[in-house]
Amino acid sequence: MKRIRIISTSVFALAAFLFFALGYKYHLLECESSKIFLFTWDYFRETVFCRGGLCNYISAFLIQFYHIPVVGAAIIALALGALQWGLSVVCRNGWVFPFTFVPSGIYWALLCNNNYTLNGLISLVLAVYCAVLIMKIKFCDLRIVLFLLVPLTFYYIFGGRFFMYADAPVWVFVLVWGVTAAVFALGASLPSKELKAWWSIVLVAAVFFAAGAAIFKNYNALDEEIFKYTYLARNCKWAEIEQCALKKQPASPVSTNALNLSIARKGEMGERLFTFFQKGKRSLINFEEREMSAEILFHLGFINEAQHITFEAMASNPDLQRGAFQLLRLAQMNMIASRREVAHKYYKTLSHTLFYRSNALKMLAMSEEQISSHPLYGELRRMQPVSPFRFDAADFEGMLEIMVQQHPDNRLAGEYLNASYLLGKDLKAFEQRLEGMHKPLAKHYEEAAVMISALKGGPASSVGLQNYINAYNNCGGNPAKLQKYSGTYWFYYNFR
Amino acid sequence: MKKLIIIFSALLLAWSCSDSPKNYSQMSALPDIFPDYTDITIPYNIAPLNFYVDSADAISLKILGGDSREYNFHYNSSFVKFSPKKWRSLMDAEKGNTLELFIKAVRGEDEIGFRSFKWKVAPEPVDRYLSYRLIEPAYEVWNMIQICERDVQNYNVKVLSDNNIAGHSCINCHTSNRTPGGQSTFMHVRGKTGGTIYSNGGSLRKLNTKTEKTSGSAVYGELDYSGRYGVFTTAEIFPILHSEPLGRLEVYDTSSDLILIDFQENTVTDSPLVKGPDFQETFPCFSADNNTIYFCRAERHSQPDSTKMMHYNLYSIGFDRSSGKFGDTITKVVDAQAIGKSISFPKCSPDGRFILFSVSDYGTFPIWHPETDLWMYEIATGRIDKMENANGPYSDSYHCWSTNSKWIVWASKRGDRVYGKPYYSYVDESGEVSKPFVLPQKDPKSYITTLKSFNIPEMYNEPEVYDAVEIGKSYFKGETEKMRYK
Repeated sequence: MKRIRIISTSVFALAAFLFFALGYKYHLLECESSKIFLFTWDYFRETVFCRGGLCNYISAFLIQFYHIPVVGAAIIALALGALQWGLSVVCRNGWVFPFTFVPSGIYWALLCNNNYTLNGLISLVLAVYCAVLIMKIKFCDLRIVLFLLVPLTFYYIFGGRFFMYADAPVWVFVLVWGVTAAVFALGASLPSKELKAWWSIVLVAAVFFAAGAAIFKNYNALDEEIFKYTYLARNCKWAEIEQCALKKQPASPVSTNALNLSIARKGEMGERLFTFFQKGKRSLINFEEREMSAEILFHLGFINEAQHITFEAMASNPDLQRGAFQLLRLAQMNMIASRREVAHKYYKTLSHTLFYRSNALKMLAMSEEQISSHPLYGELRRMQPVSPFRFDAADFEGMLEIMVQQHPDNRLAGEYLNASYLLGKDLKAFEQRLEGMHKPLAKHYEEAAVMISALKGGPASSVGLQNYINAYNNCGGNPAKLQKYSGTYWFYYNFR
Repeated sequence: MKKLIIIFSALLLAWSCSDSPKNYSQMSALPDIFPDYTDITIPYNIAPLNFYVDSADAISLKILGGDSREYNFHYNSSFVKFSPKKWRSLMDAEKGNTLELFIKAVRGEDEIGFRSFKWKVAPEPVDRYLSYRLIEPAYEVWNMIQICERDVQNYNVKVLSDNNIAGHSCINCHTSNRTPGGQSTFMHVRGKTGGTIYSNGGSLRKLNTKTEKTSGSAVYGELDYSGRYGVFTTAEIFPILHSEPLGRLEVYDTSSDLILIDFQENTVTDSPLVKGPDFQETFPCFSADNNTIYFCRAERHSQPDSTKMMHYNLYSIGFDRSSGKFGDTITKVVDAQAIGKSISFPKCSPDGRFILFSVSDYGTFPIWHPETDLWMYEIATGRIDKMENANGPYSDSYHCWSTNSKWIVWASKRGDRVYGKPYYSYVDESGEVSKPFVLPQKDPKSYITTLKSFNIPEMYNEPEVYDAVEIGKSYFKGETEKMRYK
């Protein structure tokens, strides 16, 4: 029986590890980037000396290791395994044992939602082990005293407020703590009873199956994709973004925004934009998605607006935490905008972290000349607006026009402006852009150019366009019959 | 065993002696200390001025006081942290004297002596309490706002209001009338069940200051010395973002008027002289005798397109305490428009001699204007002091006078341009303002690591009667008193 218990706990923890390491890697990275853990006395004092503070401190300490997803997955697996093991320690009844996996299973399913973090799990684990310790005390009076004192102490140190960082529905709280308490109470109170091995295996397998179903139901593939593209864009992994998109068409506007940013950064907007699915100007930027919008604006040179969005995204972190990556970006933006003092303030804060320290120290040591000659920061510094204008997110195209007017050498802004005109089907505006373009034109620009010429009543100078027109006239309005042309601007113009 | 202890102690002594540095050099420069506490005037009742010396392994500090009294301190770190008891006795003994501080810093094998600097210990105390708002320098979204009350004689801080237990609402403008024995204060808590929290004689009231005939709720304002009357701005406030690298945020009013509130009768009144569509009036304050109200006024232009044309001048209007009404005429006091400037936040010194205000290039939101400086206007002579000794390279604004008119405190963004910190200066008999010093903290480095900005510092002598929990209760459960237009 003991062997079955050890094996089943190990299998459970291993499954959790594999799930988070392989299937939920980018959730972990996203969670880590929106939190910060500082190795300073001030941070300790500010975090610990408030209700639930110690729990928050411990989980922030652990969450920083999500920076290496394998380690993060191991931490979660150990915590889930520890919760189950704690419950199984007091359980002597073979019928109850399979149910010791239920709280961990529920919490695993909850962790599929990034609004739930380790805080509540750590709190549960500590509560269970504390209860186990109380159970082990032989002196009845001491046990009663502790039974009365511990809940209050626990509430203050590991308080329920920190069960999660967004406002949780009460039923979730009741479910997790209620089920844990019920399993603990049953395990501790029911008499010892051994089951036959096969019975144990069947029951454990049934619980595993139920937990698996709950986890499957909560698994958020779309968020994982969004976090993946966000992570890759933040780290300028343009080739990987394209590989992902080639493997599977991006399913969300954020992924499409990241993909288009990667295409533009590689200077291939004119060649490849319409080889991927596009849907209007929102394929370029979607201001409702703050993190990705900030990335795009950052690369375009709209540093102030990118800073605005990043700062507000950070101020909206539901657990009042500062995000390490957000702080890093703010530091970079201030460095680029020559606001060196405030950049140093952020870098000095980051120098107290584990994973951002070396980068922060390197940046602190950089001179103004080194920043100006840096391949990214230097380029963005040169692209800063030279005369003031009010940024209007509702008129992004207008902002790009101002940027291109002030910095005709801002290649990325130029590519975005071209793409914006094409995606908005504003061929008149695009025609003006054509005048300044080098020949030969990139594929999609050429497609738009011959189309403009044809729409003006001129001959379809391109064989490709003529073929497309013929095919279009014969397709009966059914785009499926024009799949051959799905990667052209003509197809986009007619069907998207 | 005894022998062993003696041998060990001897070894320890020998080791500690051998650790003394070999190379001594005297520098002509001032020490690189943070905060900059060199050559300043301080009140005798201020908390210990802890600081750190850059890259020091150990520090020796000698202080020469009056009658050649000498005080020696030694620290085995880069921090000078005075014991509160020793500091208090030092300040009490040296009240009115000038102290000279000699610092020697050990850096590795070297010991460096720096040029000495001075602390003048003013005999006039600074107001014991300082309230300020702690907020991240955000744009339109915030998640942490606290109004705190610091006892400046030590490091104790009490949280007066915390938006996380007040419906995440914006909290602002904690202001006191500083009347001894009968202090009244107010602050605004926005949000669904918010209001103006008014405290007088220990009772706490929540007021809805908006009436059917006034354009909005009370914003910037001040209380008279009785606490019965308050004069406020009502304004429609909007933010816009600057695009250029060194710009940040512009906040402008599309309309703004003045109102007078009678907290005893729960009435609001105004005057056609300080309301209407042609001009915008804002930042009112009472004169020391409470017979005059100073305020800022600008000709209205379409905004945000013409925000840069908004130049506010300083005006005054009478105040009749018996009727609780505005006077019949307005007078231009300082013409800032003529010199291409804009005045904000006038504050009268309690002795009636000066008006301190912020001056920026345009508009009404000086905290994001790096060119903003404090200027001091002498009422009797009309002389303006540009306070070059006190102003920093970035925004200096949100100032306040101490009750004895000897100290001013304001939020200065010197250092990093974004994060405000409370700076104090001494104002001498002739109106000269001394080099400022930042509010001392137990850990002087906390100003570097904090991501919160201090704004709206306000001095007063009696502790606030409520705390954040009471404000939270008042927000959610307190009955809101309605005001009527008179």
